[in-house]
Amino acid sequence: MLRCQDIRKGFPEGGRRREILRGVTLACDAGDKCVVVGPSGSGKTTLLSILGCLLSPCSGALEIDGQPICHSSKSQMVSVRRRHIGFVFQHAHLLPFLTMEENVRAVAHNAGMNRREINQRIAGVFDRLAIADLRRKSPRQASGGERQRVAIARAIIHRPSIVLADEPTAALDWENGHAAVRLLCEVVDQERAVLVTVTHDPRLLAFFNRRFRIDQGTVVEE
Amino acid sequence: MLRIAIKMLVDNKPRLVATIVGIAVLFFLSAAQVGLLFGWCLTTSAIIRHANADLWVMARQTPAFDYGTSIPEARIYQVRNVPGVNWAEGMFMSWSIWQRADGRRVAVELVGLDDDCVGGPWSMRQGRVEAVHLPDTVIVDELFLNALGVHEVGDEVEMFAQRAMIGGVSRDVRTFTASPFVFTSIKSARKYDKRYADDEVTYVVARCAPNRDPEQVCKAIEANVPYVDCLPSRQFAVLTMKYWMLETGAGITVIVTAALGFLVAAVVISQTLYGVTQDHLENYAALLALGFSRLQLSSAVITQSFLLGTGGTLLGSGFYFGAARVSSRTPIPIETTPAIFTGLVLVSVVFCLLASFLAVRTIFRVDPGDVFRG
Repeated sequence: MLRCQDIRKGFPEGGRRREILRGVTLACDAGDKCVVVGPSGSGKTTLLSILGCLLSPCSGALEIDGQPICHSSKSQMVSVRRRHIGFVFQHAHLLPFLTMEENVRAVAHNAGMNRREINQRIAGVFDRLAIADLRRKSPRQASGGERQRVAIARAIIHRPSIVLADEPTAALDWENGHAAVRLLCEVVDQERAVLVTVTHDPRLLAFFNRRFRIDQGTVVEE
Repeated sequence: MLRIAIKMLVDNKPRLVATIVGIAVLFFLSAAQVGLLFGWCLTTSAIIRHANADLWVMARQTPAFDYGTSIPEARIYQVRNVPGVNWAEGMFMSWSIWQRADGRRVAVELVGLDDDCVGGPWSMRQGRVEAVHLPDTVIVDELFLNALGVHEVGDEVEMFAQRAMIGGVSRDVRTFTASPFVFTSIKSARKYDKRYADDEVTYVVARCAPNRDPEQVCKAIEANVPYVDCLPSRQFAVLTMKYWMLETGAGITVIVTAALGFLVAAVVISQTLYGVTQDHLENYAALLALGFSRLQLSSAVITQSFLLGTGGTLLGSGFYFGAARVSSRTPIPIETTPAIFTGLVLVSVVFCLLASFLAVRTIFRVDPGDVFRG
């Protein structure tokens, strides 16, 4: 479902090149709940950006849902993000001028789902995440935990094969963060998607069946 | 995406309202300037356009209707003899001094009409145009009754120490020169401007025989009648408009003001859109990460620009039509035609769309990876 082979990425820094990823190889299948941990600056976000088709690697191969990703094709990267990937960001990044439901609906609509399908799916997902009462609310009126739950709904609404979560608990207190990750893992499990989460919080590791440590640009499964 | 574009725009209501009102005022300013220009063009050429004549024969190098000089009355008969001319008569145009009952003097444009009253007022509020042929009788327009110090038919004044009596009141006969038109007969006009001899007129107005090309007939007149220029009515109207609008600089000022109005409106929209886009950079980055393309986001910005432009133009059109209505009964009307107004709206909308350039450029610089940087 998600394969990356010898991914390398570096950035120019002070006149020379700084290697962030030095040959990352990963293979995840449906239902895998992966967590990537590592110190700050170790390349976790860079890896997540490459897996999310937001950033092109310098070399290496990426395959999502059996489809090789050509990082030089921006339209393919947009299309893959639109249909195959769901994102949960550290700060939910919900559009404040839309209601919670509209935030989720926009992504589903953009993924090509029809209105009926979207309505059914929204009803189901909002119920499952216990956020049905938030549908008409503005993100401005909601708490951090509520926003993050809606962000989870947005990430899975279009049935992506991969859900990428970047520090999903960092902006929440322990209780809300814990609940958010538990929910995220549950829904991803039900959707049979691959979850790749980046976190600093060792207390969350128990939720994941695959744990990776990134250090010095390489990834090792623990 | 349309919904997102609209909601993003409406998110900051005070800014939205201020922008639309700003665009409306600027559209009104520009449209009013163009309307004034159009109104002036119509005013300067009104007598020519309403005269129902095909040709105007005049002294050589006449710059505009209001500055015609004398030609011998015999030219009327000479013109009538030119092949292709069906009908011709004289017309007198001069400047005179109108003395009100209170002693105040007003410069007026004196128009002397021949038997058929061609070139006379085309709309009468009181009396008939033919009244000009009564002795010492003049027709003035209702817009200038106060300026001329008269109130109704029968009032008397003096021009060059000659008695003149109001024999009729016209409607909508405006003047660009601020000197009201005073219509009378050619015979009376010569009394009110002693510079003309008894056998002189200013113009010969003529109609062509059926199916004759006015330009060809004009050439024939110029070839057969000495010391005159001949212009088809349309060309003479344009010559007069050009004189007042371009040679005096009045029109250029108005055109520049109108262009500046559109330009400032574009800058206002550009600034607003740029501001809206800057405020929502984080949201745009999130949308890009979530699989929206830059093209979709750019179309949202262009939609916002279009909506701002349309909103401002609609409101500005309301101001414009209100002002046009109020000005319709004044000496300086704001006028337009459906074609000109449509043109103004299109120019306004195009300027608004161009104004989105900066904001669209910003969209192409947004990095979707920013969503991972908190």
